[in-house]
Amino acid sequence: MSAFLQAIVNGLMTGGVYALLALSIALIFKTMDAVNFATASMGAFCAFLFFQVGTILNLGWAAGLAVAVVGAVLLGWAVERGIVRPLGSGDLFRLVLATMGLDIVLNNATQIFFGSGVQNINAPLPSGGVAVAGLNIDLTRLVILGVAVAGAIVLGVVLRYTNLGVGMRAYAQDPQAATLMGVPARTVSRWTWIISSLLGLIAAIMVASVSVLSVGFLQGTFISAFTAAVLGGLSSLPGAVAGGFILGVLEALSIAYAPRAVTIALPVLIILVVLLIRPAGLFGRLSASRA
Amino acid sequence: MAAETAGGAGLVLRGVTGGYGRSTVLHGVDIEVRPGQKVAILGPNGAGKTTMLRAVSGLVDVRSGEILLGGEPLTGLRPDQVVARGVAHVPQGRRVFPDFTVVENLRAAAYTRGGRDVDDDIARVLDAFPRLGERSGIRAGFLSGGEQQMLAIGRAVVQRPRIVLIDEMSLGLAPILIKELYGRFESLFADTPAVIVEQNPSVALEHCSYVYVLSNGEVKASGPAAEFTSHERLMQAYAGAVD
Amino acid sequence: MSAPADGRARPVWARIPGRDVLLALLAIIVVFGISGVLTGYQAYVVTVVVIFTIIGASHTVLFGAAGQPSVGHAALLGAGVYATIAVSRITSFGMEGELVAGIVVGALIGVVIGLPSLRIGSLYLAIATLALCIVAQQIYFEWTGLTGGGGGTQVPPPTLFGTAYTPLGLLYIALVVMGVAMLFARNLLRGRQGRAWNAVRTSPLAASSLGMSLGWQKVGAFGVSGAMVGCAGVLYAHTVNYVSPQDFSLELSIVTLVIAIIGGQRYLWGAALGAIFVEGLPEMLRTTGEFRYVIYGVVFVVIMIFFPGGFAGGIVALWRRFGPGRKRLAPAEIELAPTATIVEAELAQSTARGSRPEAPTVSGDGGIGLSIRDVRVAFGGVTAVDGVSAEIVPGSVVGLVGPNGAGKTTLLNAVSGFVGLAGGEIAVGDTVLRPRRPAQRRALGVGRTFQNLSLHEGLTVMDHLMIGQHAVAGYGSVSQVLRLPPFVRGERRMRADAIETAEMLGLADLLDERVENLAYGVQKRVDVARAVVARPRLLLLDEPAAGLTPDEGDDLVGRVLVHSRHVGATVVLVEHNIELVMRVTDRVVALNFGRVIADDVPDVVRRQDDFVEAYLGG
Repeated sequence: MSAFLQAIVNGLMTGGVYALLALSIALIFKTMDAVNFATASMGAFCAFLFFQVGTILNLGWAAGLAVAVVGAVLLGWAVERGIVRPLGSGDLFRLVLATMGLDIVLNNATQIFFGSGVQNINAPLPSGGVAVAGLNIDLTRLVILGVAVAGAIVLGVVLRYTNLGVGMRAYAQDPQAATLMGVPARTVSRWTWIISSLLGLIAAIMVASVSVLSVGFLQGTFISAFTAAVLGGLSSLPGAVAGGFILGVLEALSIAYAPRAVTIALPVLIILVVLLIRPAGLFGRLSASRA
Repeated sequence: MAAETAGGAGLVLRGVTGGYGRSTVLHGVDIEVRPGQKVAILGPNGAGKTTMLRAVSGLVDVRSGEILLGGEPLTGLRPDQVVARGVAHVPQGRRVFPDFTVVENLRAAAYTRGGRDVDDDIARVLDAFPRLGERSGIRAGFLSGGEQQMLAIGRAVVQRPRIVLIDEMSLGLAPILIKELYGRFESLFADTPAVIVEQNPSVALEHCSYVYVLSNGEVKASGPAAEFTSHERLMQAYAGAVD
Repeated sequence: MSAPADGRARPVWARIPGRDVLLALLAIIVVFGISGVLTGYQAYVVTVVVIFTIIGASHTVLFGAAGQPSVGHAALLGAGVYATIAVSRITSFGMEGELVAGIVVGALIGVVIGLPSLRIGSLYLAIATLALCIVAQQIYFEWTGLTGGGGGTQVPPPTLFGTAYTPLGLLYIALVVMGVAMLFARNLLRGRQGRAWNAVRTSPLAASSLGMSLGWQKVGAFGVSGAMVGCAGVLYAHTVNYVSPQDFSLELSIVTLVIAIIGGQRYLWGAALGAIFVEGLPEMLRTTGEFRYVIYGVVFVVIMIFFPGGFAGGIVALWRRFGPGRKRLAPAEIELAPTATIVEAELAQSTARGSRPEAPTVSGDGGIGLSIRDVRVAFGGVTAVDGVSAEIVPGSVVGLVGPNGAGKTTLLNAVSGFVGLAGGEIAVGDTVLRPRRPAQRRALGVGRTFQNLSLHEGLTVMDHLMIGQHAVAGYGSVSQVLRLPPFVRGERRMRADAIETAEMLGLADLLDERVENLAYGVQKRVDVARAVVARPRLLLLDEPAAGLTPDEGDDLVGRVLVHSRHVGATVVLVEHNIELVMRVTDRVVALNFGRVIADDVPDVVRRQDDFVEAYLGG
């Protein structure tokens, strides 16, 4: 029983990171109708900035964070300005394919700038564990969970209560009607990519803190986060969060109880099952619009 | 936005030619709307009425000619810039945000003018349309067609425009509802000029002072509404349009 | 693709039959010749280019023609590779057996990957291919008996019918395999099957009304694509000698797609350009080092933004603009063609017919009747069609009119099978139609046009006329691939019918024009031509005159009615131009608020009060 609860707790803690990266994916999908395959490499590139400035240049974590945030904002802005806007809104596959190209570029640029070595990160997070009711809770992972939840809440508040957020949600439902309400398409598109890039940065820093920093280190998490987003219906933000936690728990349970092959194939099995049985996702509801 | 004097701003289209892709829908359209005036645009399907409104809003490329609001050019502006100049466009098919509630829809309409007094305007809309008031927390996708049309008009109220463009308000609605909507529309936009595109001439004629008949992207007839009230005159204008 | 229409006014070389095959043969012979002086390593590089050309071409079929991107091709390549290893270990066959196995396994897995398209749209299917790619790689890792797991496994040296081959020999085999694979793909793309894929990609709505099953078309494309990758897998296994599951990664899938897109996914030869650029050039230059992939990525993104047609698309565009033998037409401005007088005579006759009070006489062999019985269609809570009944007798021309939003187009869509019924039934002749099965309609002889012109962008007028005859081609894919007599006869007959219909509709001079370059009025004619070319027995016209000048509208409708009488078809005409409807129809059914408010001969309907009220607004 306690092994079961332990698996649930571990799963929730991994799930937080999945949820954060799934939000990054779902936000783009919701507004642009496209999957950003460069989600992981964008986040990873900025995480390298954070750790390189923070540790290797020895400027301190605050400087690292500042550089990384500026980097993530600039990267999101540049991708929107340089790729998304020139592509226009005609064929959504072209955007998806272009993000695959971007992924290739960023992964290799990361390697060229930061080297192909594997670095262990001594993250500025509390370490050690505490025992609560017989369960072992890793402090680092607990902090990560907290950051992820906080990130999701901040995003929710921005989307619900700021003018820009309301405009972004309106645009996602009906771009043309939103435009007629005065919502500028360019502003929405720009901020969607910038926010998505920032979410990717946070997720990347969290993942690197508990694993290692190397080129492509976020790819595995990307597959999981993508699965979580599909589970949540791809365009639903609450769905992405729920999907992240559900996937985290399922993975932890399968690690505890199922053969290795099942654990490895789990995300993919979930994607296939969801797509075939319920393409709108567990939480995706068909839009309330009339035909 | 600057507070507008009563009467809003006049709209002038001069020789407007434009369309989608390679097709040209509008061929040199001239239309004038004076401050405070309600103008009806009539004509058969495919005449270019909707395209004309979309040209004003910057949703259609204008290849030649000019569009002026209160003497200032709108031509070449992006749709959100046109909105910021004071044009409210109630599109065909209502286009309410289906996943937003009634109140969220109204709030979204205040994007350009910012947060001040929005609540007053929302209250005014919900007062004018009590059925919306009863359903203020319901997602707009679940409203009936008539209620969605009320909401679409309500969004235009919240925009506090200098001119309103409204496309096929009566589309698919029962006559009694059409009457009610037009009545409300008139009282909500008493002093604001409006361009009313209609396929249903008799309704439009009742509420407008001036009429343009459009066909094949050209103005085929125009004049005070009184001149068009007889079926024969209208049929003639239409027939002139279709033959 | 882009099948040439009839060959008038073209340079001599363009009239040589199968000139692309000859060109390709020439290219292969040149490579053969050069191959004699290649070092072993150079032969290896060329072989790799050949292999990736085949894989790129498989995307030309699946993505370029059928419009379905796949990021699962690494899994298919792996299937071909491991089929090779299995055959060489278990049997005594050489490459002759391995190729058969690779093709069969590849095709089967391709079909399985494609099957979900019966249920889900292309974006979700693309995601599913991503998932499958990852699953397959895991399976290869775990299946250590066959694959050697993470450590990989040695591939036995290539033999063909008992003879062993050097790397250079393998290159020759690869060139032959590529030639056959490309010929196979080219033959499939040129003809009924390729047109169907292009139709499904460019306008699913029109394609389904022409009798194509959207899902199965994609499944077929996946099968073909899988077979091509499977045979590439055999070559790959022997070229690299040592394979590990690491090779079959998502990245490899993406690289193959990148090859097809950089090269130009609409053209088979574009795959060769893409493969040379991505796999060949860096190996030959050997200078770019670690920047190699950055350069690919940047080139790829730049191509996506500025040259969506890739290298091949760019070359074709340049050729069209500057090459010999092309007179460039401005966006065609159509004139009323000389047959207008015939049409006028016919229209006059129609007017006379229309005013006759009794049931219309049947001319030609009559067409087929349509029964609409108490049909209801609802969207959400709105009832768009509310208990409509109408009996449309064979051979008649019936107008369906009513104000905007009255339910006319919805009713037409219900007859076409695009929307489901909330009640009632619709029958064509004696057959009750199944809702939501648009492809069933074409088999019963129902054709339709579209209010918003669902044309196939990038295809010529001739292509449209051939696509319109999809259901009556009279030959299957085997005939098509092997160019057997049924294919040759069927194409010849369809081409003749296409030209006849084009002449009838005044399109004969525009057969080679791509539809996006045509004026709106001409596009409208193409839409009608596609619907009538296969001689439907019931023709549904959705606002054929909308957006046309009155003269154009009269002319178009007149021509269609002449054609329908000529081939014997019942016509249902939805149209806002009331005068036109009153002039040409035998009967008018008027709708308002989803109900029938009038149903009689035009002269009676036009005097009916509630009709006038509805038309002018109550």
